[in-house]
Amino acid sequence: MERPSFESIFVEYAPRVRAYFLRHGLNRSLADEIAQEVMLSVWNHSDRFDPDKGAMSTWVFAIARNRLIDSVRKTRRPEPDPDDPCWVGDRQSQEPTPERAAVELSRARTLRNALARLPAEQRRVLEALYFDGQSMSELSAAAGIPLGTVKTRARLALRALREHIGEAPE
Amino acid sequence: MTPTHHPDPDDLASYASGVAPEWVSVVVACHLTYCAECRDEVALLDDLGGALLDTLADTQGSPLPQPAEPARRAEGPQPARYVDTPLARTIPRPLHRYFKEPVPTWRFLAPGVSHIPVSLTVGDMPARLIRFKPGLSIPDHRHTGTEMVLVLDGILEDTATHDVFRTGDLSRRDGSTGRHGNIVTSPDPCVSLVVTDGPVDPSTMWGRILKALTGL
Repeated sequence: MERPSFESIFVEYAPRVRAYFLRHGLNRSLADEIAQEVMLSVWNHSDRFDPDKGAMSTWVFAIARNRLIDSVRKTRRPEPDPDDPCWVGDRQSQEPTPERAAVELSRARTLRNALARLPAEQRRVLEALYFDGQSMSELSAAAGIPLGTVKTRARLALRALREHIGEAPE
Repeated sequence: MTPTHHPDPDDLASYASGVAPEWVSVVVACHLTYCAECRDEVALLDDLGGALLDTLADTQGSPLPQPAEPARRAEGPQPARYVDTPLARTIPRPLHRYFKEPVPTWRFLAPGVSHIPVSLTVGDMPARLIRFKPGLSIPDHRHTGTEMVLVLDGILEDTATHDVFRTGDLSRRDGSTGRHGNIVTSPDPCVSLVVTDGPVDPSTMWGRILKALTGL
């Protein structure tokens, strides 16, 4: 698959990445600055992006999230390492094939559709987690909703998404 | 062997969304090293992050200044952040940057118990790798804060629930769970990562170990 140009990646994702940082409460100039850095990082690593292993959006999200944790929250989020001698299970996904790439694309589309159909209160919990940096207990306190209700909504949302993904690709 | 005791779904969601505090991320990342099932779950949660990102609209009006197409910098390999010694190879890599000593070594703590201190940089989260000798029993205790125990090697049994924890299994206890004790039932020592949220409380597992075995 041909690698996308910097311009096409930038036009597509830079506004969303900036919106992501603004949603996390960064001021305008910091959000601009960090969004630019994230886009450069996406570009610098774009030879590592494997369209067979996931959607571009997932990958951009992961880079933006990690930058938020490193640069803004000044904390760390370790990740498992497939080369770890302790690793159990498949170390790498199977050989990339056009069929798998098609499955990944279809999965991303299915997920977006499923997300659009979630009840508003379930989606609110996901947005609090992913965009507002609110844990479920923080959302519960801020919105005056019992913690059990918040957790139930999150679980129902994830179950619905999983069921859609499990369905035959369209 | 595949783990059977997994992190709470909320912890996986916090980990993927980036909300999780560092100590939760460390425990989750170590569990993921052993658990393909939770790795799939986190992959879905990452995809969800991407799908959510796709829904964001930029409401700020003015466009971001777009830099000219930069030369793509060759990415050098990330400097190794893990320790490569026979002992370290038995400890999942997400923990390696937290060792207090350059070469981790078991330190005697009490008869049948040794430990490797682990330092988490945020907050005051006591975290330790603990090695128990076979047959060792940890007296009944209760929990006030949260305590996560991830078994890396050997077998730890819960004397109250009779749950059996093997490599990669995670036990999470807090104030809502009742009193319980543990016993090492493997013929080999049991190595676990033990993390508690908050100062050491004498009623927690770790506190009881210190109290019962060292007289502190």
